[in-house]
Amino acid sequence: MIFRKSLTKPLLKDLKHSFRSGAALPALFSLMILFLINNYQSLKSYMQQAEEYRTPGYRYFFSDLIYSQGILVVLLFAFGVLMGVSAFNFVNSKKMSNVFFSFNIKRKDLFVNRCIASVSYLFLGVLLPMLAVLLINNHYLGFEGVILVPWFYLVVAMFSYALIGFSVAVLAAICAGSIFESALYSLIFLFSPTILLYGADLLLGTFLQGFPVINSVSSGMGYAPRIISTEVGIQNQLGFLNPFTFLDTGADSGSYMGGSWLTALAKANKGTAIDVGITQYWPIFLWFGISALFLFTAAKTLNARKAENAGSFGKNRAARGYSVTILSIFAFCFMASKFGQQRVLAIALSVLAFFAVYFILEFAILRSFREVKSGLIKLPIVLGVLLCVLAIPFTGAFGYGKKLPDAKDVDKIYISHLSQNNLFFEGAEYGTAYGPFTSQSDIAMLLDLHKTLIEQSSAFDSKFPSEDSDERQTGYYVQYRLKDGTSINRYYPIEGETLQNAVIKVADSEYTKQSLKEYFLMPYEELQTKINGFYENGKDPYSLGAEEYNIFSRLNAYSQFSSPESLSNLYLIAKNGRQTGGALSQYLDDAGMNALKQCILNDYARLGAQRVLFPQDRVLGAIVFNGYFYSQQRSQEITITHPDYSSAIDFMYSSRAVQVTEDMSETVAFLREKDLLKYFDSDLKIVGAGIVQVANLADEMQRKNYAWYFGKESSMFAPIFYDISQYGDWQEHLKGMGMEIKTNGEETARLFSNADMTAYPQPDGYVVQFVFSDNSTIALYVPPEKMP
Amino acid sequence: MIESKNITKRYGDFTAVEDVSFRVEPGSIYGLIGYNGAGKTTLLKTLAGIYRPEEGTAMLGGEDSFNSNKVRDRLFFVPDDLYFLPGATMRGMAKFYEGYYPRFSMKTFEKLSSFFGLDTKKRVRAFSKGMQRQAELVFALASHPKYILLDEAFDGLDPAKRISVKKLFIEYAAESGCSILISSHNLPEIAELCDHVGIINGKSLIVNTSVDDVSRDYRKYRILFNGEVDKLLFEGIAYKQMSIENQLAVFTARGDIKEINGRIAAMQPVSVDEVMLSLEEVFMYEMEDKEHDISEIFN
Repeated sequence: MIFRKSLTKPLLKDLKHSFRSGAALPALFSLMILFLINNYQSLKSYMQQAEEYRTPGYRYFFSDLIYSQGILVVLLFAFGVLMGVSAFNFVNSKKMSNVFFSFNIKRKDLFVNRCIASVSYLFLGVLLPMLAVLLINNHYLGFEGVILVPWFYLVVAMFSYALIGFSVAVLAAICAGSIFESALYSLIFLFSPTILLYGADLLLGTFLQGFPVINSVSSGMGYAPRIISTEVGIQNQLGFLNPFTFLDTGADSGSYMGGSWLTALAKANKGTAIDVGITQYWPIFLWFGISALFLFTAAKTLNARKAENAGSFGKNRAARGYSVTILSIFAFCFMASKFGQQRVLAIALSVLAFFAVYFILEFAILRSFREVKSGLIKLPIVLGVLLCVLAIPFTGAFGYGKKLPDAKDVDKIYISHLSQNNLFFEGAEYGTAYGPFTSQSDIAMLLDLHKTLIEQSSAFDSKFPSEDSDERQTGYYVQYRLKDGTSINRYYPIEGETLQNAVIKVADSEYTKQSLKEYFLMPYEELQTKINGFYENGKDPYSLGAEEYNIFSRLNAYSQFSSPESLSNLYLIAKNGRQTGGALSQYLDDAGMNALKQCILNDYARLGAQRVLFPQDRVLGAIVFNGYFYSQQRSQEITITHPDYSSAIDFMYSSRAVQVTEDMSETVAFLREKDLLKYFDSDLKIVGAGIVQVANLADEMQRKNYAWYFGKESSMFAPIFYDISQYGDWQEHLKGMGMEIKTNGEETARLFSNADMTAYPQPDGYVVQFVFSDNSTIALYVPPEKMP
Repeated sequence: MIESKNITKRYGDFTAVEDVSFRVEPGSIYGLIGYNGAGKTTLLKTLAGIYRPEEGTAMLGGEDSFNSNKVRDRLFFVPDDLYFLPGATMRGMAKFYEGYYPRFSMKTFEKLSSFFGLDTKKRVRAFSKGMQRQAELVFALASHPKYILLDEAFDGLDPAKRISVKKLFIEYAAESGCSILISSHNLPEIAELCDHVGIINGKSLIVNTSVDDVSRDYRKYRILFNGEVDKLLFEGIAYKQMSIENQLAVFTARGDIKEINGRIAAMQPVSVDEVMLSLEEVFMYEMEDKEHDISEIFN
């Protein structure tokens, strides 16, 4: 017989086959990535405004990726996972494994060929759309060498996501018996770090006092540990081990790469050179290594794989055991944190949850009690490890919660709070930093507060402010930046008197006084220029602890001044809600405005925070700094407007109000001198008032923790702010609200005189709804000691 | 030579094949028969190097087929469940196999395709089951293998094609010295095609002999006695399918026929009819324990 010897060696043939059979997916994904990067709107915008973008600024199309980072990452993972599952689908198909395993090719070679083909496609799938982006950029905006640095970084970063997805999927596919099982294992493998790190945060956030992650499971705020700062929490600190976050955390979270790996590209705006150095690459290199490890394990697993497992489910003991155990561990952590307030119950239920999930999943997969039983041997070990882990926070984690730095080692301190309302020393969001406190006295004051909290913290059941509590409470987060470059981060619940004292001390701190002064007196243009500078230089103003953030933080002093332009105009509001219309700045020139601010500053400094925040003297009215609503109005005369209920809410909600009390002598004198004090007076007659104690009102609204809901921005006041004229008989209406009605002129006048416009209500304080002769109404707060 | 050396294959706790040993000599065609689930496919896949045996060794030409991939370039395994690349024509599949089998001959492929009347430009997955089976056999023979393993090779083939296929295999084995192992339920075909046969009876190989010798140890007896017959009379003879009616005893026996005949003669029967068994009858004799009393099913 004559044979024509084929020139194609089986190995090369297999490689060729791998390339040929795996071409469809990358082509599809490449197109999807291309369309995602170059979304139509962006392209259109760039094309239309190419000239503008070209000079003097310089933008790149892919900077818009920052807005679609989530989708892009999912797409890249999906790309990798599908490539992996599809390349190694043959091991899960009886038909295909019959063919490929009977060929003259080692399993190792089958593996390598598919990896070479798939990884090449993954790289091309990312590179080609990115090349297209580069060409489009150059076509419309001209070539700039600077673009290549972030461009290359983006290509490598995108490829790393796809590679991770691929390597995980390959391992999963080789462990699995079907495509469904491959996909399932891929998901579990990919999410394992998230589950474990999240579980650790849940456990530590629940049981370890001082740990700066709050388990909010029992807070009604949703089932997630709330991370206060990007620098704390197991998820953040070990985020580089999580395939979903490894580029977000990076090596240096303080750098501009922190927070978002695509942030780097956004900073490519306006031609700023991008310094993507080795520190930005190391998480990528780390995951290249981890991916290689996955692939190495997959190759070994393929070599040992039983071909008869094709078409089966749950046959790979290691993969099945790992997956089931991971899910059981999560059940353990979740249950432990869910019932964290009752520790014994928490342990019992978490052990139960662990076993329940384990058995249910094992039985669902194996459907044989005998087989489930044979795998039980490892359970006590896993459970023992879990209980040991749990014992760490239970026993205080070797003094973690009680550690207090030495004052001489502290360089500066940032603090923040955790509450739903904008009470006290706060920023615009949870965990926004307030600080740095650097003076010796401020450091000593905060260390003293910390010490008090350590002594009190064991008394709290929950680490998160609870709406079921009758106490005013919030969370106190402190970050010490030590002189040696390290930092200590702690979180404690803070409530009642301690909280009030803390608020007053912080408001009286040197830092706050200095911040307020600087903020009040710094010219607006200078402030605005400074702020714009941060953005232009590509600094992230929202990363905690960044030096530049200081200025943002200072804007929030006394909480109400959160925007610089808010001080560019003002209006006056009387206690009955009548307010001046038009821009008072027409009557106060810059010098006059500054003089008024200086008066307020002087009064605040002289009175101290106690008397400013909890006024004892009569409240006359309020100066509201509001640059938003009236800056365009140029009326020549001051008019008095009749506020409807919504503007009253606005006042309580978002205005930057300075409540003027009689003891603010300089401010009062200034207003009198400028003949502005008269706008605090009104001849509107009070016809009656409805009184309700805050605690009762809280009950009425089914909210026990008044502090939670009754900040000065609380919308819980809204129901009693309604224009009551629509209800006909106002007395009946207010009675219906559970209020006691007063119509005696003397009584109501005394109540009105004693009422405060802004307040931090206490349960034994009162909300009083005044009704005026024109049927208008306003709700004010009367502290218990001022109740006639 | 294909050789199964004490192969044991387990799926978890279940033993599919236990301690099976046999050989398929060069140029020989070996028929492996057994009921459904007896372990035939497992044995074939183990011999093809697809499955790793728990014990024993699957040898092809003296080399371990699982661990030595080199020997597999002379092996073609035709599984029961055929696989063709999505969208591939016969020619495309031939190109595919040509890459993997160094001795694959396109010339042989064309000749065989024409022999079977298969359109090489048509997508294989669009073929009927029988045509797909023919196509796979074309690929197998065009690869010029030294070892062919065929699982239910004749399934779906029409009688004419069966005859052709049998002729092809006999011719190929004789000319190339190829060892061919066929598993099948079709006993007459096995008897006709194979020179050796093995019966696998749930785990073990209970018969392993040449087709010519398969009936040597089996006889069907019809014995007439003078008076009433008692079963006890036949103690010491390995009989099955025994029926006694008055003076007539009918049964099948396996063993040393000379000795059995001696025992029967000692019973002083009136007459003895002795018939050799066909392969099918041997198979049924061996499978008897697995049979159910059908009449019981609907009662």
